[in-house]
Amino acid sequence: MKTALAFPALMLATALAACQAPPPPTTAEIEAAAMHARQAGDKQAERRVRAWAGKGWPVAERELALVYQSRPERRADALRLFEQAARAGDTEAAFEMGQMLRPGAPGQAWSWYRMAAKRQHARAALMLGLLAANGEGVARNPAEAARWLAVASELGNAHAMFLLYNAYREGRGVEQDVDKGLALLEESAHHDYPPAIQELAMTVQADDALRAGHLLKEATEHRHNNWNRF
Amino acid sequence: MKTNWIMMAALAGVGLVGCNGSSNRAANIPEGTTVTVALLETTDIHSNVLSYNYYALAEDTSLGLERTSTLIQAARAEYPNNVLLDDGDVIQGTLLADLQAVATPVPCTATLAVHKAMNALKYDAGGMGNHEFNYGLAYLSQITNTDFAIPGVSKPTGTCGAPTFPSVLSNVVGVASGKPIFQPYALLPRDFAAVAPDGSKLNVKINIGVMSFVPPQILEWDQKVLAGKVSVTGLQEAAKQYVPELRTKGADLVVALSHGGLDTSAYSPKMENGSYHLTSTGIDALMIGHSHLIFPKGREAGAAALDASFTAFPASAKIDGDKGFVNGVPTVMAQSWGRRLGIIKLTMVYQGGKWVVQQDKTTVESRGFKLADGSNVKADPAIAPLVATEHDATIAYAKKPLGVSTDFEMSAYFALVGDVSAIQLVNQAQLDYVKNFIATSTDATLASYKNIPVISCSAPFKAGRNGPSDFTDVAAGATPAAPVGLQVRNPGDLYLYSNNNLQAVKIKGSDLKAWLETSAKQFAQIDPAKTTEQDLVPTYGTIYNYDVFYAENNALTYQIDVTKPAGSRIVNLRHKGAVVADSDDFIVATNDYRAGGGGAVPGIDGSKTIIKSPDANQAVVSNYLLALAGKGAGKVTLADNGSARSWSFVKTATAGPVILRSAPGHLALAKSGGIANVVAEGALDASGFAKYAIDLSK
Repeated sequence: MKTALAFPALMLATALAACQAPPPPTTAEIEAAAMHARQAGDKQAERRVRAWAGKGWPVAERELALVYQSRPERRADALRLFEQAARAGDTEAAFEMGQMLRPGAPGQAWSWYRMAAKRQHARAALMLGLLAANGEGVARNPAEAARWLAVASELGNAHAMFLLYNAYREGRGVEQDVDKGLALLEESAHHDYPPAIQELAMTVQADDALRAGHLLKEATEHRHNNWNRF
Repeated sequence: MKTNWIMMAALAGVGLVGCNGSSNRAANIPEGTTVTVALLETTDIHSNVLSYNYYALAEDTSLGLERTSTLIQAARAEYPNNVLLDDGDVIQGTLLADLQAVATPVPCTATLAVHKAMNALKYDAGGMGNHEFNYGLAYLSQITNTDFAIPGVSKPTGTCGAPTFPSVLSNVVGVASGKPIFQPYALLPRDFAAVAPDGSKLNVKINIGVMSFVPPQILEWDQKVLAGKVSVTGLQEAAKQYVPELRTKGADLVVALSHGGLDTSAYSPKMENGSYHLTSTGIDALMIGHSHLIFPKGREAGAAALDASFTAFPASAKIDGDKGFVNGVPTVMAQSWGRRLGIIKLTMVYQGGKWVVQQDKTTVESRGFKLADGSNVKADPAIAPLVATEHDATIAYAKKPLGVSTDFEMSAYFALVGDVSAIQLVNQAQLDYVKNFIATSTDATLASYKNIPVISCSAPFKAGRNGPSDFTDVAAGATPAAPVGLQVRNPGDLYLYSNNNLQAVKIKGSDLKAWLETSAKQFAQIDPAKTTEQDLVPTYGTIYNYDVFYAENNALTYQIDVTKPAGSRIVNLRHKGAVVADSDDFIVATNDYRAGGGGAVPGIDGSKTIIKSPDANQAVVSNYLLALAGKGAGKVTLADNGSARSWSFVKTATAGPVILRSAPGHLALAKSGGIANVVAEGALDASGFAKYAIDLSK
């Protein structure tokens, strides 16, 4: 009897709950709202993201932290949110933790970059390569630097491809391999890394002046949107 | 309940079909009638109207809209039912574009040169690219004759010269108005010839809907002019709003012009190359650009292989680079600079009151300039006369006086033996820029660097790489008695690479030493005991990596000992008289190539960059000279701008001759410029370089 009564009650409760709570937003919805909050200074959009973050959704925590990132007085909040999101599995948040910590505490940044890089974050892998190459926060280690640059290159980071080209050309942390280097240079230029486009133009100029000219022409056009892109 | 919803949906559906039929359908289109439509695409024209390279001031028949025009006319003859669309990045990219936007801005009454050509080509609609925003919103508003309703951005009153076809942009919205700044889509009704099932011809009206998308990153790349004024909507969010709206209004075909490449990773509204994710929004055709690639693979003989970035996608993404389909949607990318014409040919059949695309009959092509005999298509003679005035003005502009004269010749003939006459000005300009950048920065971190010394480096970019005539030589013959006026193009001679942006790095004294050692690798190791001839600089191949450093009042000085092996040649490195310690801080003004790892200077790999400027080094030099012109003196002098030799060789007597290869006939210049170690001009080598004798003991 009890069961019979409870069952419809449960159904009703579930139905009511479904009416009250809209389905959780998709990642794209959260990102779109946060984008609007950042770009248009839309307070309502920001409140929405904050409410979502309050529910502990990692994407919303990361996006809210990105909104806060441009406000120095919100630094502690941004760090807390990034950390929560990163620990809950958000890769971008782990990378951003690294970015925020690097200037003052590169040693701490390392572990966050590492967390992000292990989850296939290309720029995080690049940062590990840079820190290891320069002994920033960790012991200087050209071989480890080259390994992380290779990871970042595999993940499509053009800056890393170019630095790995340098490494192969000079035998820094890897065995010298000119051909491997050149393939990386081509790919880096292809992904628009400005130094790579220029280097490639210089490299092919003697044999193919038209291509070199076109590369430099393209680099000149693209400097307008490549200035802060890498 | 459920039934009601279904009924309502059905009713709505009927209503929509009713709308379509009533507005556009000729009364009697026989079931089974077919119509073939060609969608033609250009993209990333970047203001290349003529087949001309303004940076080299030379013809380049491999590009230019005047040649694309020939492809367009041929495609129109082949496919009489066509629309011609452009995917953006039109107004920026050549000196012609800079002239019309910045140097002598095109007035409201005139039409931009590239738009004149596009109007003559009777484009049907044009989308936007990220570069459309480079010159700011007011300019874009004027040259498209569009009022953006953005506070502080005013279009000149009246009708300004503009494209005569609709300018479309679906995902950029004014912050204040909340409305799209351009019309978010265009619906183009076109009368096309169709064929009835019985073979008879008839005219039908086909409505083509056109949307356009730019990457959200425009807000970062052009933040100066866009921040707070516009916001960008994600591609899918915008498409999901406008595709149904276009269908409701009767669009038979919906085309997305997407100025971004293909990224098949999970959708995010932040994606730069989100075009792939438009394929699931109900569009019929996708025309892409931005990455200047060819898609699908060219059909001409000897065509390049499909770009690796298209072949790397997983099979599940369904990208067919041979046929030109992305996730089932016909997709084309027509490279850039007018070098290709994208053609998507669609055949539709009239079925149950609407036009249905016959997927198996769709073909996609990215057609290039190359004719069967290997030559490029001929230019359409109708285009050049339209822009002759602007073209001539651009060339004349390059030769215009800057308003500054020089009392010395700025040359790179002897830059590798200490002459800085073609380098010091660049260093002074860069140094001035960075000091000012830091002094006026509102960024707390940058402001905290105020007391760190700023130095600068630059290289003899044009110094023999491409033969004995390839040397910087500005204001030949200039002397205090006979100064020479500088021209607009001269900053480009002093700073060769127009692609470089100014950047600054913060380094330690130890980094500076390593950097100088890398520069000094340009020299051979000289054996003083050797009696045979020794080349001081064995090759000019990477001469752009010979950075010469400079501090104000020549406060940074160093010597190079070429008798030592590479890596241990720098001695006596001093700043303000004191030996530079490894722990000293410096800020170095340089370019994005070096700061980002170019030349493989140890530690200079992008990790120490503190300033990324949107300004070109070339423009920084130009502005520095213009500022001098404004200061009244209006001249640069050897004493102030060309004789601060920060470096020299450690004096060494050699048993045999040491030579520097340079352009012949300039010994007198070395003498008059006080380059004492150049002692004689010898014979020409096989390449035409003169072998100058260098006395390293002087």
